[in-house]
Amino acid sequence: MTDVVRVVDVTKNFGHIKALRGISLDFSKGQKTSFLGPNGAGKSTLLRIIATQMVPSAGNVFVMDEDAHTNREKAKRNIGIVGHRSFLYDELTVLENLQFYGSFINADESEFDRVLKITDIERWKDTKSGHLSYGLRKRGDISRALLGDPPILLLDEFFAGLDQETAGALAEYMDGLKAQTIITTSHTPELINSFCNRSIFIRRGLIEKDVQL
Amino acid sequence: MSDSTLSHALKLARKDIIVELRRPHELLSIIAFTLSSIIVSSFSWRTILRLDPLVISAAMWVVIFFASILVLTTSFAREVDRGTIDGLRSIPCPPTAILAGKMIYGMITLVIVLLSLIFSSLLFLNLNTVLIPGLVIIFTIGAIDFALMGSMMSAVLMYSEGKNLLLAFLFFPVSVPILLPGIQATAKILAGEGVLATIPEMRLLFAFMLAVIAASMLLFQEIFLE
Repeated sequence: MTDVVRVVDVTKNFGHIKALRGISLDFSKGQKTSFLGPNGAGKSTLLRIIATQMVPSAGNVFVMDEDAHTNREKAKRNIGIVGHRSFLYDELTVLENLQFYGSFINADESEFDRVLKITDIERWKDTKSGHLSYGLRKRGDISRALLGDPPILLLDEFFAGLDQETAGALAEYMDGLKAQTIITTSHTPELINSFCNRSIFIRRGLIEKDVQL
Repeated sequence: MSDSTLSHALKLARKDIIVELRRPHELLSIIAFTLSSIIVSSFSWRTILRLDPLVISAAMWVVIFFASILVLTTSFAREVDRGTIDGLRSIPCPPTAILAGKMIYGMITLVIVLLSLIFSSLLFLNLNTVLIPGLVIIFTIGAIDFALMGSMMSAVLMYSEGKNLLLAFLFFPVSVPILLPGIQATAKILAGEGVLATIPEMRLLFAFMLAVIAASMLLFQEIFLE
């Protein structure tokens, strides 16, 4: 399989704190990987560096064989990200949020319909995001991340704050996305492992275990 | 600024304006502050037959200064507080487009506030309508300067604790290059000297504008990416 993301010797320091200590990883097409580990292990930092939202202190990230941090705009077109906090604006409807984020990648109405259908949120497309429940909002966020059909999907603390039923439904959506390479972080492995086929245990900025499931 | 950067900036500004209009209490409270400041000033000045234009000008710029703080402190701080700043970071566009979007939004909002200032000054300070074009020109240039500088400062301080307080404190020293020529130019217009008499002050305001744009282009990417 082709590697769509390559992390090469990435280090991240926050002052004297070493959050990541020379991490190297490859992620192939269609692979679904979970970063597991305790709080402060460096999972979200690594995810944010892959997403080009954070600059590494040393090392490189390659997205589709191009240095992500020297070609940020190109890398971002290949990456959809769902943060642990919603990126949707409360005052805008779900559709308006999609239109706003979609306008930067020239997404059209058919694209909005497609992503709304995937997450089964069409009924709420004209509802302001601020009026949605946490689970529906998360689905809106997934729709936003799927705009433009990016080959890479990054999910940060994906199931945090969700009830068992909603989390289970979302795990099913994720399992259904066969084309995307998914990288997700969590400190609760049960649901994550229901759709991931690889688990990487990170502790104190180092890879402790890399397991194919 | 390239065409695509400008078009991205306009999309971002449009989003901010729609969000602002759907929760208009902040903008309305700033306009209410502007109106009440001018009305209170008119109470104390009603017995004075001929006011020094510098006094009126200073009062107007005090209002502009505080309105700018109120408009611009929320610029990036709100995105950070809501978590949508990471959404902005995920957009495939140059970071300068994000800053430019915030600057355009700041300019439009401040121009709305300044129009309410001119309108209330006409009503309560008995300003001559002949002075309006000159005031509009000077205030618009001042609003652009404040929007550029305030948006950049809001970005610099977005992760600081007590960012709103810090911005209010730091806003004054960096506003001096806007306030000094702004007050002088407004006083000249109020004294009936005409727009041409304010060219030296306008040059200073434009020079400051260029300096802020240059600093923003150089610094913003480093600030925006963690």
